[in-house]
Amino acid sequence: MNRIISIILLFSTICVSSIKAQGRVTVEDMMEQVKSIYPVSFVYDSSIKLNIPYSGKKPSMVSLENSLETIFSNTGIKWEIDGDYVILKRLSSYTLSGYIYQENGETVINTTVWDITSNTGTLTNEHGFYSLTLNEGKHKIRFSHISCGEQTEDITLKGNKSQNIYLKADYRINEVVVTADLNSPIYTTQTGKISLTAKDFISGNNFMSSPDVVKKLQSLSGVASGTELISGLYVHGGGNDENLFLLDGTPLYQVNHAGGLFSAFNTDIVKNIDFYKSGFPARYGGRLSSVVDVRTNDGNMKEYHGSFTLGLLEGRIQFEGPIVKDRTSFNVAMRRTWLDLLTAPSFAIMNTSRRDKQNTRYAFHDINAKVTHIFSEKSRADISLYSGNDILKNNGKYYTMSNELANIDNFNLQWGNFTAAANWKYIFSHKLFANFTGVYTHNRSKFDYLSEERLGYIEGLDGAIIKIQNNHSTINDFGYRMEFDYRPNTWNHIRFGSNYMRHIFMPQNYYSKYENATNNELTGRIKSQYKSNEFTLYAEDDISLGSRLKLNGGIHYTMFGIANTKYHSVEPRAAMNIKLCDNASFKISYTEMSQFMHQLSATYLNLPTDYWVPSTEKIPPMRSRQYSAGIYSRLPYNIRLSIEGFYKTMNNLIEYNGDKQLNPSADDWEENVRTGKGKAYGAEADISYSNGKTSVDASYTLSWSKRFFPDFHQSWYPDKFDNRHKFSINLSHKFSDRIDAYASWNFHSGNRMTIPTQKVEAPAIPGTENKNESIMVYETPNNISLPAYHRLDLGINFRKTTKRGFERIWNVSLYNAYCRMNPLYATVTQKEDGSFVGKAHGVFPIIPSFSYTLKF
Amino acid sequence: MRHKFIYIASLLITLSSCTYEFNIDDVEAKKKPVIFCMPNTLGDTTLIQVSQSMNVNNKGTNSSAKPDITFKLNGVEKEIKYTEKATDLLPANSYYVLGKLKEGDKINLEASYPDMPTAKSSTVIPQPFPLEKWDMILKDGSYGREIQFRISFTDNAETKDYYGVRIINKESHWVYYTEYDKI
Repeated sequence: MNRIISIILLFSTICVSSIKAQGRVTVEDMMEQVKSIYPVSFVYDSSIKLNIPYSGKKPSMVSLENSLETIFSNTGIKWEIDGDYVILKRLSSYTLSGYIYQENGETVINTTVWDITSNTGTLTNEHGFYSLTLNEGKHKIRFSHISCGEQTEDITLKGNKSQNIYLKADYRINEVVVTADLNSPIYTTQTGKISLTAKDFISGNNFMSSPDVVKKLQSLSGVASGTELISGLYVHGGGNDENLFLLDGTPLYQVNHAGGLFSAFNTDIVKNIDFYKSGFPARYGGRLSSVVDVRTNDGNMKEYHGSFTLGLLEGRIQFEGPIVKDRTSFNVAMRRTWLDLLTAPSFAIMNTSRRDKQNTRYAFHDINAKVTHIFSEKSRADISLYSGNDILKNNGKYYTMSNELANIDNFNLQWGNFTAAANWKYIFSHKLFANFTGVYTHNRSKFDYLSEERLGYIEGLDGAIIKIQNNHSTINDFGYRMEFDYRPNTWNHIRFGSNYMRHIFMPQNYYSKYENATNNELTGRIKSQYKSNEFTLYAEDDISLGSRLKLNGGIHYTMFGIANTKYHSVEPRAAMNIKLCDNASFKISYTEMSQFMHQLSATYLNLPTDYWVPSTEKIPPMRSRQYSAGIYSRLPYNIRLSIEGFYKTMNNLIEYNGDKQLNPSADDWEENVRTGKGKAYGAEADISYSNGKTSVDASYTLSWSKRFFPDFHQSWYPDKFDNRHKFSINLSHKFSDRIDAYASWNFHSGNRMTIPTQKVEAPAIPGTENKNESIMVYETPNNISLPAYHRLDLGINFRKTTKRGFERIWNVSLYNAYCRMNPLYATVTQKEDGSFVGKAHGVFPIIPSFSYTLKF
Repeated sequence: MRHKFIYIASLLITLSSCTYEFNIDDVEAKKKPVIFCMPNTLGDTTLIQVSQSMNVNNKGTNSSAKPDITFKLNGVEKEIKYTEKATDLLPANSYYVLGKLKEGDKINLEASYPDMPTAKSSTVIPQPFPLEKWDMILKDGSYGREIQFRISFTDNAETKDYYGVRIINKESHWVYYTEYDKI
């Protein structure tokens, strides 16, 4: 019976295929129709395939030329009438390439380059370069970017051609309408990719009227923000040290200022940010959970411009312009807090009327500087520098009644980064672009403490009790990156390259000294250093198979060597995009990632005293696997909707066991960490609408994040930031050229914390008085969710353009507009009736702020 | 003046920490028996303290039944005695076992209440504390003068041992004030 059914099915399949084949019209069939009407013969080389399916419109047969034009358009075949013969030849392919610029000479990343004639296109890469291989002949090419405008050019290809394009945003129209944005999730193969430009930071996601990159990322779906007002980024259940931050290709380790109130990225200089939560392309590696690829502006090649901003806590200044017009440009941006300029004289005045002297100071600064030079059409280079530093100082001198110095207390904590990158971009051919970068990163955290107690006031004693503690933690990275971008044809986009980084970790250079009047010295010294090499090779190909299917396959290989240990990591990356219809696609991806360094922290507060350590012989690299799939669509009325799911596993996670002290000691840290694993899964929905004046973005995330550390707890338990539900909505509206306002409401289920589950009577100790005390017993980690977090932020910008063309912007904003005291931590207390209740403690109230910006 | 008061009051209200209560009845917790016992070679009475834990999720009530306790010394079950009133050596409502213990004695202890899991524990009376010498010095600390006890002993590396120190009496002497604190 089964055999008969199989035969019937096979026969039916053959019949259906045969019928389909019979119904399929080919180019050859259309030629026969032409021959039946016109007395011509076709002459062509046998290598030209004519039995390809014909999908064009039916030729009118009004004239031979019109009919031939209709049949052979988009077939790669050109025709020529010679008497009674029609000669067919294969069209040659030529490559159109170049850079896309804004009017000011700034290159534009992720610009769509679309050939309307052949319905094919490409995107500019991270350096603004594009390459598109097309058939010879006339083409209508549309260059468009969501923020920079659209431009159409008629181009005739008779050979390879370089064409640089300057996009002009047309300010006469109320909206920048862009059709067929190839960077849209509908067209790319990557799942979990979001691109942001400087314009995305104008409305909302700021603190104290200062736009912030990390706060914007925290508002996205699939990202947990951690503790309020700290720049934590927990992406798809990952840890805060699992995010790769790249500033013009250079990795940054410390991205926080003021404990996380501000991130290290100055939005005045940001050109583009590509943020990946899943589906990581093969060119990225080294972190498990996310990639934040920040590219900065090169500087205006034509005119001098800048901006100045003064807010409640910090001030920013940015200045750019040509050194040699259309050849060399510079861009400098600085940001600094200014409160210490007030506190320093205030303390000085206070100290004049007090016996004891005290001075407290906090400040941070960022400096970004970039110089770009264009050697020729093919060759350009830039040098970019970044310096960021936080300083917290407290100095005190205390005197006796007789004005003799009794005590000195000096405390100094500094942390920050310095990075330098030299890039050289070269176009080897119209199809091959390369970027070579030399990279240096220095990350430091410095803590100095001095306490001196003079003993002269104690009769019979002399000298002083001196306590000194210094702790310096540094990372020095230097190396190179080589990236090649090769586009042999319109259906292949190949990237390959190599990176090398030499890491020198000095997690802790600790020195302490104690001297007292009896010369009883206790000194401590810990000096630790790790040197490692990280070498990477990668290759990936974005392949279009027809108009409906796109694949991305890649391999990322890393060799990590430290002391006598070598780790090899082969990380496959695969993604697929199936176009369901013109306005919707289904995508699926699989990625493996490895991470060879870990940030040790005893708390979840991301303190500057936390330090990074590498994988060693005892501590293997962390590893993750992530599956992701989703549907991405464009609905009527310019509404974009995407629904994406993910499942991620993480292995070889480590955490400091916090046994001995708050700060882990670097000389035996391997003995004080425990290893475990994690998993996270969930679904995200994002919807957005924009009509130029009004924009609405809303997202919802449903997710779970768990950990298993068997030395700590015998079963899986929820992660600290396992927020079950997350919802956010951002609304911005432009009332006129002078006023625009924004509002955003963010909600998420409370962070998790560990509370005791039992209360027991403390034992009576034999030989001592029984005090009837009790002990709280903790059984399961993160066993409760704090009350839900929600917050409304409002803001309004008042703009005015002066007669000299300067733009003035006043921003007034309210953080936490309805003053919801969201819980930062909780305790458990027993009421008088014996029942237990949780008490949540909130700290951050409504915070108003304003800032003044002048753009010139 | 009134305006200043309103501004300051608003500032204090908005900037002060806010505490509010939330329900923790959903926390998973089960009542359990609790045993404390510190067998030692001093004296001839071993105190056994057994009680019931209290759930923070406000669920469940204490059992009024007496616990079922088993005390075995080197595998031999000993008689459990109970005192309702406090004595010189024992607190009120406590259980105890009579008999002198020595180093190397193995003790197994179990206690259970109806509808609760059984609490089990075992230990071996360790060898005497291997004290070599001890010293007490005055040193500077984070919060002023500190007393530091320096205890020298030899630990057996082959066994995982736990040590504790109990300060019986402390007397502090202030320079400026002739006041004595006794703890």
